[in-house]
Amino acid sequence: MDRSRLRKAALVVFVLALGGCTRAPEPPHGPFGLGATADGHTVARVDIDVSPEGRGLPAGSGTPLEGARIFAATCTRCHGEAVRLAPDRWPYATTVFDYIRRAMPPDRKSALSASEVYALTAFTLYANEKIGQNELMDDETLPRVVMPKIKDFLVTR
Amino acid sequence: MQVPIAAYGSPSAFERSVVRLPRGVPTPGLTPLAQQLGIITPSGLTFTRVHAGIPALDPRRHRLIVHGLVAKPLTFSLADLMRFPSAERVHFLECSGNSARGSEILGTGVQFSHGLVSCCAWTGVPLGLVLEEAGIDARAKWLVVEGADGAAYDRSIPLAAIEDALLVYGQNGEMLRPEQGYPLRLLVPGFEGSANVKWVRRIKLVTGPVYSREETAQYTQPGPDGKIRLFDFVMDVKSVITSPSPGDRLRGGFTEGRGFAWSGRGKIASVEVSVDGGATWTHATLDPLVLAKSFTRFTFPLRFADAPLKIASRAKDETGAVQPTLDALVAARGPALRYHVNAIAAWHIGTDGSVTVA
Repeated sequence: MDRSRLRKAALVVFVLALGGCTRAPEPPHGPFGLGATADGHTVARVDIDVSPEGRGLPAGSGTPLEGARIFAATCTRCHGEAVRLAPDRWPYATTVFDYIRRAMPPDRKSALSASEVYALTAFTLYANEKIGQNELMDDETLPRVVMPKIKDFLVTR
Repeated sequence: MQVPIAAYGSPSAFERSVVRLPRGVPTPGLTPLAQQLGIITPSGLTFTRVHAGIPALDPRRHRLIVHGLVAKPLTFSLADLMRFPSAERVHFLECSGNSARGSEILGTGVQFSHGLVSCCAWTGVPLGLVLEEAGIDARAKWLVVEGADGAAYDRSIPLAAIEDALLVYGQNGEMLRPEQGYPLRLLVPGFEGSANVKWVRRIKLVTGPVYSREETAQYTQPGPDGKIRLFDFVMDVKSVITSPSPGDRLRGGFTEGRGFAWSGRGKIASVEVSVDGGATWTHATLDPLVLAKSFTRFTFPLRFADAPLKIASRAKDETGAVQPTLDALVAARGPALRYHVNAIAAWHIGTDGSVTVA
């Protein structure tokens, strides 16, 4: 073997050895120590979810009649006389409260109090014949309102 | 005449007609698929649907809070999230209302019938790493993901489905566009577009779905048994011939036919095309870049000699699922077909070469 072939062979061995030393990357795993602890106050300020069982419903209450007054003053411009809930689209009454609170009114010029949201929810449920004219909605009564079509919903997961 | 080098480049002045559908048409913000030349949809042409406007979020002030069934609730700045291990992946994103029955009569062209789908390269942090940082409680089975738009748009996502999910800050090599969720959005590859919450500000780990308005009053559909199906997330296998497509005029002789295929369940296995209205089918050529839950580009030779043709494409994915006919979909789900419509689309080519919906 002449010198140049020997050098080439040495180079090949060296490159192979380098290749053999390179380990596959390990999948990254934490903890990474990123982010800041959020205290209970911080969480409570942003956690606005209401579950079908009523978890997350705030204190307060409202009736259909009170809701009708607020609706006429705040909502009629977009919604007319009342919001019609498509019967096959609303399995839980709590969703009505949750959506009004998180999204209405769109311009946010008048932030609604918890009792105003209960009242608007009560008015909407009354206008859709889900509750009676004088039924008070609060964190106890609202989760108990049964939407008749519930049996037609199928959770696919 | 010469064109100066702009600080941020724009398409040639000769390409001004290649745009998303403008405000004013019944469904604005649709991707011009007939003009899309590769699998990546440019950011400015990515389809856009919004539920309560596009918020202008300052990335220095935006925060993500992770709470609920976790060991330690955490708040992250965007800078925190960008320090995490990252990944870039190419995935399609399709609105579940794409190709809803009747969309073809809104206007002429594949942009109207199929333009609620795009495919981009997305960069972000694997969602699981962020959740694990807060410590996932064994009781947690779902996430509620909330955006910072005007309606605090929220959706419930099964924890079991987030294996390849990303919290995305990058799109096609640059920061997300505002209408795509700047500075942070969820991407669950293969899931209907509306589940990929934009402007993400809060993730809560919970035992069961929250049944928000957007997953009950919207984005639900009747199944074959007449029951309303909730949480029907995955977009099934679909394809469409984008060239030639309605509004084009085919010239005599050879023209290459082109299109895109995609599936929310994995890779595209094959695409067949027919030029005789589905009587016979032949395999289209797939471009080599076949990625899971991504556009796959296909081509086929088309020869036109003033005899009418009826062209169609039919995709199959790696799970063996095959794109159905419209009749089969109607038989399975009823005639309304508002969401998750993946029927075979056929175009008619008249003796004069004009292309219309068949």
